[in-house]
Amino acid sequence: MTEPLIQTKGMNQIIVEIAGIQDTSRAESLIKNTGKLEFIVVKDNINRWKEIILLIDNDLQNYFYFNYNGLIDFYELSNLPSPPRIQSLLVKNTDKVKVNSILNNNSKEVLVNSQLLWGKENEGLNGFTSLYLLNRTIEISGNEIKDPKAQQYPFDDINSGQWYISLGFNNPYKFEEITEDNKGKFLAIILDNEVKMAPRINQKITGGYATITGNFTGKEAKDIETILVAGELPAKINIASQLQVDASLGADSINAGFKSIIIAFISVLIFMIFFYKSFGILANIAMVLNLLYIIAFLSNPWINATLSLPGIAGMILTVGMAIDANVIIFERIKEELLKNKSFLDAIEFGYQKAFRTIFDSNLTTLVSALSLYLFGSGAIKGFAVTLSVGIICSMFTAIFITKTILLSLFNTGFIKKISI
Amino acid sequence: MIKIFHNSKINFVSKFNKAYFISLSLIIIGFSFYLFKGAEFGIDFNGGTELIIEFEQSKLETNNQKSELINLFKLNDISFSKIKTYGKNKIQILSEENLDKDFISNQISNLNFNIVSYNKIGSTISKELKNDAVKALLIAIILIGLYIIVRFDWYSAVGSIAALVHDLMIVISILIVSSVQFDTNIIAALLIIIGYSLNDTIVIFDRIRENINEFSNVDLDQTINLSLNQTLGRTMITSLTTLFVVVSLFVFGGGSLSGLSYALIIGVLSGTYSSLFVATPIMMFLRNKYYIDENEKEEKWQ
Repeated sequence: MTEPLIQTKGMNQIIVEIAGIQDTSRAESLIKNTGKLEFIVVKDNINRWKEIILLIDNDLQNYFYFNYNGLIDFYELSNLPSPPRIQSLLVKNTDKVKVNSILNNNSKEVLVNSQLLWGKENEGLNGFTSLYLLNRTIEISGNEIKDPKAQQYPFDDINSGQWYISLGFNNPYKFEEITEDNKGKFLAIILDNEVKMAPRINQKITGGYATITGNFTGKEAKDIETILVAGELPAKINIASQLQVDASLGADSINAGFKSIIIAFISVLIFMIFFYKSFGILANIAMVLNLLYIIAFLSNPWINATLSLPGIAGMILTVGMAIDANVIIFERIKEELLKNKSFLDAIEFGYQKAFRTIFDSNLTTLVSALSLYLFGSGAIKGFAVTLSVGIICSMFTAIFITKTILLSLFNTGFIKKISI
Repeated sequence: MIKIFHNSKINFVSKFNKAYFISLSLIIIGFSFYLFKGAEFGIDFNGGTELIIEFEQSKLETNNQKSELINLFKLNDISFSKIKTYGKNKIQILSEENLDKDFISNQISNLNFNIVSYNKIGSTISKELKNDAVKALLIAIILIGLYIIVRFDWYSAVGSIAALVHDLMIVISILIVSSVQFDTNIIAALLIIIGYSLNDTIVIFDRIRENINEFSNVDLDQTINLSLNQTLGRTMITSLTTLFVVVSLFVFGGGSLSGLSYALIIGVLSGTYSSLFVATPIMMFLRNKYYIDENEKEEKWQ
């Protein structure tokens, strides 16, 4: 993935922009998975399960399979044997939604001191997913682990080529103690509220290292490594809005938009020359400079603006106002010339009188841009930034630069009169 | 020297009554459309999913493609609220629900359709967008008003803000009548229109302010007519050049810019009109009514 662009938005939102990825669901799961890792002991008591099954639905009972000790067996509720230890219950995938809604509604009393979590889809029995009954106590959590690493078994191993994640514990004795106390039970390893695996603890595990195997692809294993290394996020993330723009659409609309702006710009340039002759050229120089200034400003890392559509809108308004400033000045100069003032006087008076007009109209717009920046969000903020920068640049170019060029042309005696 | 409207002596003030009538009837038409038809909000405001699907141009007419898509969607129980052509060979589909991109992508891949844009917005963010936009605009308008009161006077402040609100209402009315969908682009357009309208009005008010100072013994009617005629050349040149820009955005800008540029064309026309026929009459009316009552010494026209 390319380096993402991350911005904060408001009090509790973050905008993440990633250029050039195709697989949005992978990006989404990387963002959404907060990397919450837990080790919890499985409740293997068959009587607890009986209560839960009764609660779920009597019609469903025929579909229930239990996984115990690595073997999957099917039992009718009325005829449950007492298997030594239950690891998980297998639920038909099509019943998952139903089970979820029932559990959410009535399981409060039954689930004292315990919780139910879904695992992965079962490999042995197609179309079934494991449901685990777990303690509430978290034995080890993500911040107690170190050195997570995605690794692959060598191909001559019994697990030939399979990916796994190895990790160490900050306190090896704690893990040793837990495995000793719960010998014979299952220990569920949970990543972002999904049980990845629940191996049986056959003996006390010393050395402070563990591995998680969960039928990962290489990509998944590496993503999990990334998430674990980054550590558990302090807050849960909800995706509030997701926008994917195909490069072809982006390119398409950028091309069309760019083309139309170029056409507009050139027609304005031609119009100004046609209408104001040499002064038009002057105005055009100011306008091109103005655009360059804005782009230079916005490229400044301090401002950190991403050019979006509202940003372009701000630029259009700015260019419009820059043209207007020139028109105001030139029309004023014409007026003064019609009063039979000398050319130099007309320029002096024209600029002087036009300045106040431009100052007030630009400052009013600047006031509105600033308040949009302070109180608006997202797109509106982007508009306000380009507009504010644009107004300042255009006042500078339209008033200061054109006047300086004009006056220096006269003062050097280079030109006596310019056609307007 | 090309002179346009120089020496023009149009009696603007005498046309103010007609102007009130035109503006009010346009707004009333727009709002009755709003009541009967309602505005179309994009998913930026309502939350939901927007899909833009591209197809091979050579294959069929766009309308056939559209009906093919509609059938496909109905067959698969995918609910959508709107489907329309978008540019040359694209179709835009809007749904209030969260559509699953992969599922749809699989369904349409046999038909040589291709999803080029997928946009999903939750309802919290859309609510926020609406509130933020309205709040920011209101505060902006208040601050603009304060600035104009300081630099000009309160008659001008009321006049400029009335013109600004007028332009927004005209643009929104016409957008509703022409069934344009309201989304972030339209917000951007409305922001430009506010800026444009304000700029246009202030330039004219500045000239009126100057002329009132210079010809303090002349009737307000005459001073205003003089000012409007003096600035008419600039008003026309600026709105023409701005129209150049927005019309070329509309013609050459492609599907994604069409709503924005359409709104801008109306906005520029309305903004130019409102400076002359909304802002100025209201300012004149208020000044005629209240200026004499106030302390004679008050000299705000500097």
